[in-house]
Order: sequence, then structure tokens, then C-alpha cells
Amino acid sequence: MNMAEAETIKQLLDPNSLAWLGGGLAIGTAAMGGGVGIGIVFGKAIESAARQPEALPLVQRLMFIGFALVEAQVLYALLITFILIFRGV
Amino acid sequence: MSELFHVDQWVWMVWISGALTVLVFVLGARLIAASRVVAGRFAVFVEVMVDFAKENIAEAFLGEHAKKWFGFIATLFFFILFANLLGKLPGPVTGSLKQQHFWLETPTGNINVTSALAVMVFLVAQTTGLMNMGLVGYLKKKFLLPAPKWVQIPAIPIMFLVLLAEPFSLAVRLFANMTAGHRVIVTFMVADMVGGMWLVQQAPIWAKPISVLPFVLTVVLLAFELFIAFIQAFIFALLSALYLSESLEEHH
Repeated sequence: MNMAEAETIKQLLDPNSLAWLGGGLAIGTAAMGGGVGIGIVFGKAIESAARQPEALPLVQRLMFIGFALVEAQVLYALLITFILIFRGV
Repeated sequence: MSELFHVDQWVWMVWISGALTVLVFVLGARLIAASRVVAGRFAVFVEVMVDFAKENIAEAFLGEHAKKWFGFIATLFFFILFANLLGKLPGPVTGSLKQQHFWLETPTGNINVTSALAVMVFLVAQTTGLMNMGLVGYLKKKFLLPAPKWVQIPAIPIMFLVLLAEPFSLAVRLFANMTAGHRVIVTFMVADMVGGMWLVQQAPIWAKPISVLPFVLTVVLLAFELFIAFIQAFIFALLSALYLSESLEEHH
């Protein structure tokens, strides 16, 4: 590795590009877990409503509560993305 | 001095949202009180909303204290609901392309507003806990897990973090939901203006009806954002009722 290659790598790893990269990675990996979680919440709600339709109002209420709490975790990572991308503004 | 009291668009949106809450409910209460048998549609709508808040939020978590704390929880719920919904209105934009000045904004799309609400809920819950259980009882409840001593002592910093995470999560959840929804709508509208219009112009004549789909998708997303606005107001009020009920448990 000579000086020219080291210079290129130093240019590629500047804070601006690293910030954008980190922002994309943050929300990308967080959305994976969020997708699984929301799928579990709604799947269980649908299953229990199919087993016992009289419980639908209760299940529906708990489903919305569960959805919002799972979604909040994904949005914490979105907050990090906003901090990384809109820093200095 | 003008830096301290600069009235931004978020500030007057918070004022408008608060004034709207007061107006709607004072008017609704007057209409319900003045009618003998049947009130108008507006009064019935107000009563339905208040009943929803009472049944699902106050009585689900607060039980016997629901009557005393219902005003606080319902005001929180309706203020956040109106604030979230007001942000979905389109507003005028002035200024140049680089220096856009929006005149209508979501008040809860600002981290300061949601932090203020979360800190208020936190202070109310902790003060109620201290008044209800005394200092020793409050510390025991908040910092000690129901576990053997060799687990409890190292877990005290973790319980402190849990205590701090509650208002933080409240504030960030509401802020991020509103801001993310807003950015998604803006992104889709820009995509409609650039790509959707290109598609409408470039499509052959038999495909022109299909090219309206990007615009339909934006409208569907806006409907989803209205739903999310309602859900987030509900969750905020519900979690603050939950934290309050934890402080109100041991009744001496």
C-alpha cells in the first residue's frame, strides 16, 4: 500500500460519507427486527380472533398497543439516522 | 431578547392546537348541557370521543383513581390528537428553494414539544409517587427489583436507566412517528411531481390510466398517516396513564 492508495482510502472514509453510510445501515437493520415484531403481533392477533371471534374488541385494542410499542423501537433507529444525516443543521 | 421569544411556526401551531382543544370541548360541553333530550351531531361526537378516552385509557389503567385523573389524561390525549392531525393540513410555503419557510407545521413533529410533554408526564408521575408512598417507599419501588439481594444491588443502575428511559421513549416515539410520516409524504410528493408526471406524459395512450397509481399511493399514505396520528396520541395517553397508575398503587 503506497501513499496514493492510503490517500484514496482516507478520502473515502471522511465523516460525511461515513455519516450517510451509518444512517442507512441504522434504519436498514432496525427495520428488519421491526418487521418481524410487527408480523408476530398482528399474526397472533389474527390467530386469536379467528379462534374466538367474541374476543375481537379486546384483541384489537391490544394489537394496536403492541404495534405502536414495536414501531417505536424502529423509530429510535430512525432518530439516529436523522441525527447522522441532518447534523450541523 | 428576541432570540428567546422568537415565535416560530411550531410555537403558533402549539397555540392553535391548544386553543382548538379548549374550543371544541367547551363548545361540546355547553351543547350537551343545554340540550334536554337529544344534542346535535357535534355534541354527540364530542361525547363519543370523551367516552372512548374514559373507557380505554383512564378506566383500563387507573381503576378507582380514574375520576380524579381523567381530566389530565384526556387533555393530554386530545391535545396530542389535534396537534398530530393539524400537521396533516397543507400549508403555504414561502421563500426561495434553498430557504423554504413553512407556515403550517406539525407541533408534535418537533422534539422540543414532545420532550416538554414527556417531561411533564414524568414529573407528574414521580411527584405523585413521592407524595403517595413517601421517599423510602418510592425509592424501594422504583429501584429494587423483586429478586434476591445479590441480583438487586447490581441491578440498581439498570433500574435508574429504566426510569430515565420512560420519558425519553415517550418523547422520541411521538416525535419520530410524526417526523418520519411527514418526510415520507414529502418524499412521495416529490416523486410524484418528478417521476409521476414523467410517467403520465411518457405512457402510451392505453397505459395512461395506470400512470395515476403513484398519486393514488400518496393519498393512501396520507390516510395511513392519519391513522398513525390517532394511534400515537392514544399510545402517549395510555402510557402516561400506565406510569401514573404505577405511582398510585399503594394507597395508604
